[in-house]
Amino acid sequence: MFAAPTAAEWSAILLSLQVATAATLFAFPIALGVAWWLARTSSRAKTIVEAMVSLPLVLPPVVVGYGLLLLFGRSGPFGAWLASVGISLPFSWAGAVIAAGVMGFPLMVRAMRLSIEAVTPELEEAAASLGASPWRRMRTIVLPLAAPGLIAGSVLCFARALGEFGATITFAGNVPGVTRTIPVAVYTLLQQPGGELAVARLAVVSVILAFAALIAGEWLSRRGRQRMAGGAL
Amino acid sequence: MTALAVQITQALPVFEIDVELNAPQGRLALFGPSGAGKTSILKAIAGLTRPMGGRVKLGFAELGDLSQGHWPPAYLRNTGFVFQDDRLFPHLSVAANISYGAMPESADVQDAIEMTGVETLLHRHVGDLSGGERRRVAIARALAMKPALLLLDEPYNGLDRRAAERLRSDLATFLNGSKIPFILVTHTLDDVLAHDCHVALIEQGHVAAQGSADTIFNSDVGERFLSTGDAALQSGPVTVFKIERAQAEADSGLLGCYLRTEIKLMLPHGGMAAPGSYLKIRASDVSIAVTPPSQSSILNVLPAKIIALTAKDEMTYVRLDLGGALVLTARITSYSAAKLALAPGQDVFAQIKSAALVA
Repeated sequence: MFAAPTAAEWSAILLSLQVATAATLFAFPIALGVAWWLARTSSRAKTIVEAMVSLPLVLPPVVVGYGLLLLFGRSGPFGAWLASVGISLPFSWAGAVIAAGVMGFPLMVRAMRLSIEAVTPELEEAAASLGASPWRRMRTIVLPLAAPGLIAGSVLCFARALGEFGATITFAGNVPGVTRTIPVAVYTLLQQPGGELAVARLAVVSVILAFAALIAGEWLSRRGRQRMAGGAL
Repeated sequence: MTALAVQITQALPVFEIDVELNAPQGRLALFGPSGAGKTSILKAIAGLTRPMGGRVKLGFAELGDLSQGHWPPAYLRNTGFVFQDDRLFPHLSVAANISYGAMPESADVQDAIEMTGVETLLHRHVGDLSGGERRRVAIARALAMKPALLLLDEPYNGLDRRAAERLRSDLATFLNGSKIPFILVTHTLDDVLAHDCHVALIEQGHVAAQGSADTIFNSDVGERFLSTGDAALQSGPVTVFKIERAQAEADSGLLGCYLRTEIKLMLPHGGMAAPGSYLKIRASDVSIAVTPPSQSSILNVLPAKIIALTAKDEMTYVRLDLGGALVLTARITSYSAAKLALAPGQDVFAQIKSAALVA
């Protein structure tokens, strides 16, 4: 049963890792900005932004994929503009990255926001009284203290992106080597007679990847708690 | 010495802060009960908050003047702040905490480390320090930035008694011998007396009185501050005198301490009292006799005139005029006061059982 994965399976595995990595890197700066704002603002818009950020978490992924099609399809508001500069996202590698990134985004923001909130403004006050500019306070106090949470959020987003199916197949389709990630490949194989062994192999790979990501996340957040408690690292 | 002038108005949820503080020597203690707005005043001075109105002047330097729209944020003020809750950075070593606000490679870091005696802690992790050690590191961190003004928010609070007393003696000795202007916030009389500074009594966001320690604590307002609130809970009502002159008495082996008007008190030779240090007398250690006592173990008997009597529960507080504008408070039972038929204007003798030297 556990013969080496075939070339097509390897392609799906590598593609999944590439797409999930790209999605995480793409979501990171935006998630950090949103998490920072949510952690520090007292604006009335906070509740609405919070709900919008969490939406992909509770919507059916297929609906999110459909929404992306509406926005980025040729006749969509962003799609039309992108088409005018020669970029088409649906059914492309970049489309798979966007679908996976959007689905992982809420998890990332949530973890980041909690870790930024855990850095008390009192520490920032202390740094300010010691002459640290807002930028230096962010660089030397908030980000280092929140780092484990930022990394844990990224790991969650990465794991979620690895498993993304509904939005991906709706928005990016099922193009071998381009958008056929592990979940899409599993779905395709299940439609074909005799694909069970390949499915089992991909399933095992999925479990290993997801498990590794979660263990890494747990380890990092524990490290973060120790750091906040001022214990030895 | 750099004169310090502060004016702050700020609305707080419960009351409004409206203070004008002047410390000609640039050394000031804000004394008053918890919740009087002292910390809020410090935070405004540090630029951590923006009050409604404010002006902070240190010598010729204007740290902030809201009437000119000039209220720089904290990080541009160079005011060292020692917070009540230390606020050490948990992810940095002790050494990195101390040098956080200092110029790179500056000698100020080494000076601050030596002054606070934290040499042996430098490579420790912040989470492994005791309360006293944490406070010393917080003070070292504020000193290492070579602050133009040092703000100390209850620096001896929350420590065990011995640690607090050691730290107070170290820091007070250092500050009294240095030129660093400071503002000390405290609700403990001993903290104020340990530092050579101007005192402002703060109550509900307002200055009830300000001046030198012995004048302030000998005034009616000062007496009220010492007989109510947190200060009273710690030691009961006390009277504070400044020692003008002290000399060892050969025959008794005691120390003769002269107060403002050549009033002499005999004290056990515990610590040598330097002129300028303070003498603290608890009201509960003062008793009253209507005739000069003869056979008594009490050495210190001073003629006095009763100013006023205040009954509180079963006790009566008697304000006594010792002459030369020195006022002493005695605490006796209301029963004794009635039995002796004490009345304002009456000439009596104050017997002082023991007195404590402070710093």
